[in-house]
Amino acid sequence: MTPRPSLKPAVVKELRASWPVLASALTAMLASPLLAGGYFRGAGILAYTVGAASLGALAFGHEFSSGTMQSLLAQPRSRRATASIKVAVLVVSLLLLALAGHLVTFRPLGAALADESTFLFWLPLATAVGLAPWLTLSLRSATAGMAFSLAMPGFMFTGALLTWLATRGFTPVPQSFVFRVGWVGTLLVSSAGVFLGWRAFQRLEVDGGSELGWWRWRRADTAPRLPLHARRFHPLWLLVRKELELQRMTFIIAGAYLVGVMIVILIRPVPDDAVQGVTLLYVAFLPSMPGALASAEEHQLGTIEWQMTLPMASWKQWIVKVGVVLGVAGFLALGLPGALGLLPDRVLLARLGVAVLMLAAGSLYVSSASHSSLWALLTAIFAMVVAAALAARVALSLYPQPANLPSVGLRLVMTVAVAGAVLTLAKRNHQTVRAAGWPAGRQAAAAVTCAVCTALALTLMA
Amino acid sequence: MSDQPFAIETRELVRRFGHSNAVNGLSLRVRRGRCYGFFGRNGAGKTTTIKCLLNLLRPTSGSVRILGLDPARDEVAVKSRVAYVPDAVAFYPWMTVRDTLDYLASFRPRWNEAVERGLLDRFRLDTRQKASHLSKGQRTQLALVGAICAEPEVLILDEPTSGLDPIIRREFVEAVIGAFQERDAGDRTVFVSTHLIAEFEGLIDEFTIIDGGRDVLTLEADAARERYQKIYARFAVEPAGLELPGAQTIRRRGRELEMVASTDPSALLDRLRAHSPEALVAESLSLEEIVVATLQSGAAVA
Repeated sequence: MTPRPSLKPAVVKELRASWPVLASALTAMLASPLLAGGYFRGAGILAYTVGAASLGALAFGHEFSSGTMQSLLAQPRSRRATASIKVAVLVVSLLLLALAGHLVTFRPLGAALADESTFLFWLPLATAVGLAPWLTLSLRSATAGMAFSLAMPGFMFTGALLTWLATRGFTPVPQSFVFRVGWVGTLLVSSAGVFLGWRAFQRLEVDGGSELGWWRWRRADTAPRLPLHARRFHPLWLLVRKELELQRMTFIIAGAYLVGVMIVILIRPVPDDAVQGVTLLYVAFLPSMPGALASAEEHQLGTIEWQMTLPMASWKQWIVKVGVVLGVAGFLALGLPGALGLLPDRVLLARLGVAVLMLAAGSLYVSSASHSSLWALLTAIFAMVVAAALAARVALSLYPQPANLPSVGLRLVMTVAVAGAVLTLAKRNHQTVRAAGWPAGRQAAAAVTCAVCTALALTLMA
Repeated sequence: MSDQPFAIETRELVRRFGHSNAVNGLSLRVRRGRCYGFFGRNGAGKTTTIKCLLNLLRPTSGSVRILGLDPARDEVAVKSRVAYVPDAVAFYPWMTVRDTLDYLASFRPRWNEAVERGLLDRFRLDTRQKASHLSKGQRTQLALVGAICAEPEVLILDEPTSGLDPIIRREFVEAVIGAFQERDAGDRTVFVSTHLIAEFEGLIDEFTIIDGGRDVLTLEADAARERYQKIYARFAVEPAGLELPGAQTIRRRGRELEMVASTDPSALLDRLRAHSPEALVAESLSLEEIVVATLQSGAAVA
């Protein structure tokens, strides 16, 4: 008789895959109130929301990221049993996150924000169980699964506005209608997602095992007829194009924000504060994305080796990468809301500019040492929350009076110097092709230095 | 001998990961115009060495020179004269085959379009196909087209035939690599790391076998075939007191003896003849057999 296979190794594997995200999210959630009191509750909510979506996406997505989906499905265990183990571990992880979120982040908000708390507490859990695994399996990418499940409530609220527009025309939209439709719509889609995700896994076809599915999904098999002869372009232009292609996910997120905000601005159904809140969340989240994708995506695709052996100086290639990352981050995170008139305060704009620069540089550093854009994105976001909380704490203790702050010029020089140091370290990582190519101790020391410098720079600019 | 610098030269190359040395004091000298084999078990340090040659990994100690230049300091000059096909080939998934070749050609000082057309036909690659839809073998083919059309002085191949079907593989080795070297005879160097040694048997001029990051054996291919011989002997009665220094016994069964001579086969044959064998046959080993015999014996014969 064949012995029944043990469940333990499979459960341990799933726990091992999810605990770094869970631990990082919990650390960020705890750091916000501990380090900065009530100033960074919003950062705790961001960590909770991103943590939930990431856990949902990674439940199946880590198999794509590490290229193990093929071998997983070839194991002598039914897909039903495999999916059950994954969902069980996901639910346990989410329960731990929810417990910490309730105690640390949401309960202290009190009765004043009861409605919003309920919404912000339950919606991430629903989308993490229902939407993130389904979208990850459909798009063959954990990064895409996480990003779109995070954006889904936004799509639903936009859908609610459009529904109102279609049925009632340009008349004031009751806020309760928007939230009710958005709420219910997200919950319905998430419920359907549970079924669709289960079905997607039972029918999953794997070809290769990497995250290439995401790229395959977006275009037809072949392109239109192309010239037979080799065409030559300027290498710098080709590099810029390549870097922009790597940023497609960033453009999709920015596009979704733009559409949503345009509709809101058009109809003006919600108070300006809500639009400002969404915009600040967007400005806080988006700058991490270009950096996170820029280097890790190339590691993940496996193109970095021959890219680095092309006859162009590696520093030139790096300058192009940094330029595109900073340009995209600046344009989409500041230029877009600025053009919509949502960042009217020049002082705020300058401060946000510094924050965007540091976030983009920091995420590029994380990305350079990572083989997964999702890991890079998550690490950058969680590190940003901790660093921002730390910075606020330091700022409050060092400079209780804003008048005592160093001069603007000095602060600017310090910020540029720190960003330069971070980007130099990132170049070193990117160039050595594999993260292990640089000694782990030095890597950790560099990461700690970067985090402290980032916190210091943010402190001085805050 | 010409005073031209070596195509590839490493001196006491060491590359450490954590506490283990992936490459441990490796010295190589590859002359121009040669097809040089680089053999070893999995994890012997072949790919790490290649990455050090290309400045993809920095040596922990020791030095690397490509065509007399330092690949870290003279980065662009080296990369302009070298092409590389990695063991795991990947391309940007949004590009077609045509886009990928255009991309590669745009960075190169030279690009042979006639060779490109010939190779695309030979490999039956559809230029309109997306890179993300290519099979592993097709990706390797595309990488080979990209490397050969650039007409490099040094072509570095890391497991170039893995994933290729047997027909393409044979054609690739004989027609593509052979033709590549012949086109500018004496000036084009091929450095190939492979486990499919038999495929390259006729092309390899010289080779190095490494194990544990160290050079175990470096020889000219012809000299190796002379030196390494498989000897079969059958005696009327089991020979008593037969000592065979320098021989690696493969099989000994009663009156029959099969062995590999790795130092001086003629001396060994003389000893065997002294015992009046009924049959005595000696034949050269193939490169693959030499590699297997060397790594199995663990003997470092320089």
